[in-house]
Amino acid sequence: MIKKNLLVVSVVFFLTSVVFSTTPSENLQTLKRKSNAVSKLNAKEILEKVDNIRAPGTNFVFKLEVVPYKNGKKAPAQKLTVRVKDHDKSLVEFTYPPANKGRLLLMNSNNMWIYIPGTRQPIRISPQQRLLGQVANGDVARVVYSIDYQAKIINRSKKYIKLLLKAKKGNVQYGQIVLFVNRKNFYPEKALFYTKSDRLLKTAYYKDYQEVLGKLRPQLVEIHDELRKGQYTVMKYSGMEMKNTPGSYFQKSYLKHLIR
Amino acid sequence: MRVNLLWGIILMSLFFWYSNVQGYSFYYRGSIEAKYSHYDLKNDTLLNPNRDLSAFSTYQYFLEPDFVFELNNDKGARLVAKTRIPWKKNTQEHDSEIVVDNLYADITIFPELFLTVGKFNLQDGVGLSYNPSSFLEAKKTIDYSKSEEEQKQDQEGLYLARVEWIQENYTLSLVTIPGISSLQEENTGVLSKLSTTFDSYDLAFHYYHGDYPLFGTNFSSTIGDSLGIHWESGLKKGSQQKILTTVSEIIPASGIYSYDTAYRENEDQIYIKNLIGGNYTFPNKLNLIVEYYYNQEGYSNKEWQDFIDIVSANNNYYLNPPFSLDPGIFSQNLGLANFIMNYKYMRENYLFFRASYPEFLGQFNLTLALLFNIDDKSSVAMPGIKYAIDQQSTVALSWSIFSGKADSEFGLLSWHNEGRIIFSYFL
Repeated sequence: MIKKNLLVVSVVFFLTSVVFSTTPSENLQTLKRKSNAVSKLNAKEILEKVDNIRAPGTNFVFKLEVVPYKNGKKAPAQKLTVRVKDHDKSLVEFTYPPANKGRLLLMNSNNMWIYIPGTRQPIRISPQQRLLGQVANGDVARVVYSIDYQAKIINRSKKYIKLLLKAKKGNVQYGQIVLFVNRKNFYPEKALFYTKSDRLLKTAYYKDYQEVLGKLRPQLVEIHDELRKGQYTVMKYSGMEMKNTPGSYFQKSYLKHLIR
Repeated sequence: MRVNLLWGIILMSLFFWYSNVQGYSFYYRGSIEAKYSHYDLKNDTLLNPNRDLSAFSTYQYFLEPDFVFELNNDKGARLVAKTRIPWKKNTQEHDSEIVVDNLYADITIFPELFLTVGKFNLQDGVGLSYNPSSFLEAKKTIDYSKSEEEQKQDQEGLYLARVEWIQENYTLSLVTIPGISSLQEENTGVLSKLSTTFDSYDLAFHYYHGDYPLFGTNFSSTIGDSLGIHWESGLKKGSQQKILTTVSEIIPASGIYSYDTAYRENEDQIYIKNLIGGNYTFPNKLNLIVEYYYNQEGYSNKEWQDFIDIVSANNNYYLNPPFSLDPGIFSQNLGLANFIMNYKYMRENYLFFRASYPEFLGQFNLTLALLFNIDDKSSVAMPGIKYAIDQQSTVALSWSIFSGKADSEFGLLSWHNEGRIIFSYFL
């Protein structure tokens, strides 16, 4: 009887020890493997992972509310519907406030036009021209970084991988961007936007990660003005869905024929 | 109005026939603008001695509802209407009318081929202050107290039919304007247009065949992230600029004439019009636009001096009639001179500048525009401030301040300046 009990206790002890000894060692190994994988990824691959979090695919649609704040006080907001095609084409329709209703902003590659209903042809504009608050046209119309910027890893800490994004061409909105990427999950957490003369212009914080189209994605981006402290703008994303918008919508001549 | 109604019925019928009464969506937007203008009148100008010829009012109340309706169907057809009902009241008049800027059907024949039929405010060009290649807007009334963008939106359209073929890198348009006198002043004309985009350049060529052959070119591009440049050009055979011509000498050998208005005689001369401009946006949102335009059709220094000599002489004769002549003869001559004044297009060289600072202190929008006549150094400055009361309403203060010598283009105007307060409500 004693022998039998001893055997059972021994078996239980053995199994328990196996369980408690192997699981942590496996987890540690997984972490090590993941860590090695992270350390093996180059800057371009990391940026692609970041872009895949921000954009669910190449063709999709989402709604955006842009709310500027000054010293904590909310200013009038704008509501927009954004259609994206092949990453580098975006069509932004202004839906609110009524004064701007019906305006269209088209970005095709690095070209940008605005169309005001009732007027002539779309007018070519520069990416720097501001939409509202701290948000420029390019911030809304361009949803991925890898089209316009070349990435380089400048630092790996326990928490972040710090990427330096340098403009590929002269006609992009920012000279360079420093992007703080979460080391565990590649979430973009913070971005510093610089002018071509290395002047810090804005800081963006990516927040409110929610599961959208099968992945956790930031649903709120806070853009702080570094030239005027205390002023910031909140961009709230919603209604993201995969949708293939016809290619003709992204032709500048088509804007006046667009059916809402 | 009856014509507009008839067109509305025809287009509606066409639309319902095409769309086969299925899959509709309705879209609208609109605004109501209430404006009070105050004019600081001059007691005496060369064109209006002692304010005798035109007794301008010192104020004007103005109310203008403006609506846009679109009826769309899922087969790619749209019926679009834009109408304004301006009402104004001053010491001289009390007036309202219905203006139909747009009333047209836009039909997708194939995914790349569109047909537009009806009344349509069709404008071309890349310039903000002046559009030498926009050939279909010349004879319409424009409210110069509005911003440059609003001036383009709020213009009565022309009856036309347009076919547009849109390809990936270029677009071809063919527009015909019927010369039907009961519909519009314009004679029959055909406008063809090719527009293209390559790399970061937009380029367009227009050719209009009508009363006068016209050729236009547009170019625009961006350099870097903040600078935009544009160029617009127009070539025109013959002139539509009116001049004063002598009819007869009232008393032989006196040098006192009666006049009439006429176009310049040289119909074969090619007139060149050019606009070159750029805009720059600073990181703090301040946007600057500078444009220079050259209008060869405008008066040269000699023509302007001849015009001013006629006006000055008739002003003098009106105040001190020679040979006991009826002053009405001279007021009529001055009336003709007033009639041909087409401000901002009278001379050859102009400079336009506009600075706008949106969201200044959060809800203010500041603008300062200046149009400078390089030939006679006269100008109009237009400062303004707009405040967003809430999401649907704004209140704005703006001024037009005219300066220049008494014989200069903007110095001839009957007021020193005009101040406005404007309340706008958006639906």
